Amino acid sequence: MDSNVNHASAVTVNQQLFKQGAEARLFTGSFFGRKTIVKERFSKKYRHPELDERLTKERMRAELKGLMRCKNIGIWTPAVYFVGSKSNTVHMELLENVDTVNIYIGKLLMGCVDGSCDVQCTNKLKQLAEEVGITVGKMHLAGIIHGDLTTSNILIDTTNVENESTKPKLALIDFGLSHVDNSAEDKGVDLYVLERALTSTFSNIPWFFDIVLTSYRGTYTSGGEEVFKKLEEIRLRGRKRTMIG
Amino acid sequence: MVIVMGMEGSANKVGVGIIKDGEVLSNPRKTYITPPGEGFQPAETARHHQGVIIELVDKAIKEAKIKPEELDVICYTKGPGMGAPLVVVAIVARTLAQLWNKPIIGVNHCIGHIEMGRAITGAQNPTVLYVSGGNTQIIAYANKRYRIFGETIDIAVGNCLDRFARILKLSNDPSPGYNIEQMAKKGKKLLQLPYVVKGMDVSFSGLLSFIEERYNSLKKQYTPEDLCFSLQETVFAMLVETTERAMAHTGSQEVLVVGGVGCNERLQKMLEQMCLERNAKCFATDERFCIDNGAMIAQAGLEMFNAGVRTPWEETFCTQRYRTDDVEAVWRTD
Amino acid sequence: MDFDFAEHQDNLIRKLYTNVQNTAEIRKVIFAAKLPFTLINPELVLDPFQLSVAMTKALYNMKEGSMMTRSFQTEILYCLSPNKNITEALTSFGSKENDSTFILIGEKQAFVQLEHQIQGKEVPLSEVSQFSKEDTIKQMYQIPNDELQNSTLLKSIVSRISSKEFATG
Repeated sequence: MDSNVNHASAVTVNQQLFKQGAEARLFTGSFFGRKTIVKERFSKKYRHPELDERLTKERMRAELKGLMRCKNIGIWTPAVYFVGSKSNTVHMELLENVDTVNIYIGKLLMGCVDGSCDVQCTNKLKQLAEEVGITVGKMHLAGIIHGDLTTSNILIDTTNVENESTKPKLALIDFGLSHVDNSAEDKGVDLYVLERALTSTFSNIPWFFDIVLTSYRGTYTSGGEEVFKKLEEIRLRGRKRTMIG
Repeated sequence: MVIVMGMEGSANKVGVGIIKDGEVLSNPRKTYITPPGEGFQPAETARHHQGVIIELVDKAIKEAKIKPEELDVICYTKGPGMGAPLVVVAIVARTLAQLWNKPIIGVNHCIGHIEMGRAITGAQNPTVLYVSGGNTQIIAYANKRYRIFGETIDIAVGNCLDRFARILKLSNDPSPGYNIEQMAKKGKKLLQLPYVVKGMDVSFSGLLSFIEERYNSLKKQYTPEDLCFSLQETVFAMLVETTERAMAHTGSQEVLVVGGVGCNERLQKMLEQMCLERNAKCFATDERFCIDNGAMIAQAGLEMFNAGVRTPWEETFCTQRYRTDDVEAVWRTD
Repeated sequence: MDFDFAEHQDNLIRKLYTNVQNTAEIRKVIFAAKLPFTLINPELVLDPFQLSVAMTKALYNMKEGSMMTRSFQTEILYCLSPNKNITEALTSFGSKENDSTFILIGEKQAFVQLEHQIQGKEVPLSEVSQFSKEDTIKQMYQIPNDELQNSTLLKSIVSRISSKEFATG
């Protein structure tokens, strides 16, 4: 009948810390029977308290906005169930049966001999790369900048994923550094961060990011080229910087 | 028993250091200080270094109580840095190597900082925050390379501080950064400045332009102490945040801060606090080794020498741009 | 965490009634005796979970002293709304004078005073979707069709409810 609502057990947060990132502590929990990730942005004592408060709120706001904006354009993101503004805590949907792309690629490559890919593994990686390009292209087309686009912030649905015909379903998370910008610079930085995340961990599949870029430009037809040019500029910046002292 | 001489002059500090089996025997240094409001230019800096380097070599040898014949190798900063000053030092290094018939090794300046930091503090495999006038990088070692995890996408933090000091016409003696630090200790009011972190990278040019453009109106509401205070709190928080991100990503439990800006006590304190909250350890060196010096080049050179590295004559040139991750750290066994 | 949910009112009731003959009278009784109840328009409620999200938020606002309306009950209506206009929220989400179907939410202890006066049929709240108008809901919450490619309507609704102050403007 659901006539009584007992709040006592409705919203729980498991005491055990799931993960401590640089930004926040993550706990698992439950919200009226639905599994949650509870993200608590805690105060950083090394920062000046005014700066700390301002940044924490800004980041939480950016995260909630980013999640919503991506959702609006059809990108899969966790649903948000509750925001505790005093403690800067967000209770959001725990996406089940997902791996980060970082872990997923690792798993795929582990099954390969000598680090070189077999046909099935290569196809799966190609599919993934294409989908990543499409997703990021969609996001940038809408002017949304992720701000921390590493392979740990892109999730893949692992349900039936070994199946040849299963198209990869991707989710984006961790929008604390996101904002809206229509210039090519920040979009280029997003891609650059992603590229570095890929090449530093998976240096033996350099073609992966190439496919991401092709797919990206194919999706983001109006601005993809310009962003690609920016990316090339950004890649050289490190090399060209005068490093005195 | 290996005795190494290292020579450094990539920016406005020129130094010669001698290390014997890991012990620093001498490390004299001189700094080219410009008048307040002025930065240092390549030609004048080179001239300055030229004028004092022989004296420094002499001093280093005398303080170390060794004879030139006892040296095993001569090391110099190959880069990165300012062209003319780098060359001044390289010429002396090459000449002495030939004169005394010793092998020569060209060392990467950033790696000098890292190796000296590791040697002095005993940090095993730290996340390195390298912050100076010309560099801002967050480095983690993996597979024979010092990989750059995060860095500035425009100017170095030290450069930002130096240029800020020029706006305020602070003295450059002993260094602009030091004077900003002293003033900041007396600052109270926090001015909201642009805080720009992009993933693992940082950006300071927006913050600098912000101050440059508004300085005349800002100085009516904020004292120079307040401005120094606000600047430090903001840029250092950005550095600590990105360092922490790198640590979270790699699972590292150690931080080593090197480079001139690493001398700053406020930065050190902030890093310590961050480490405390993560149960990590924070390592720093004092101004003898934070600031560019000859011994750090000797230390890195020592590692390279023991690993069999020698720089052939044709390669004893200098290069203004020399990425930390371009060097193969053959001396590391992990 | 934020607050100990257990500390709070854990005795709230939520009931769905249809074919109610005397809605106007019930509203009068609630108003006159200042009973802690609110009547919600079921057309805009897709699922009881939507109510749970709004109620948790209203409870939190009450605890933090940051309610935008005068009572917990009206705060639920405000929380259900996707925008910050209080009047609009109360008008859209609150029941009308002569609605024969409504959701009743309020304090369990006070319910005894009201229970026997409702001349209507109680329906399990889980069946509220019988009375929801999906198109009206989509319009109210401004949910574009693109969004539903990778989100359910319910998830889109509750995300808007929970992030309202942060994700808009």
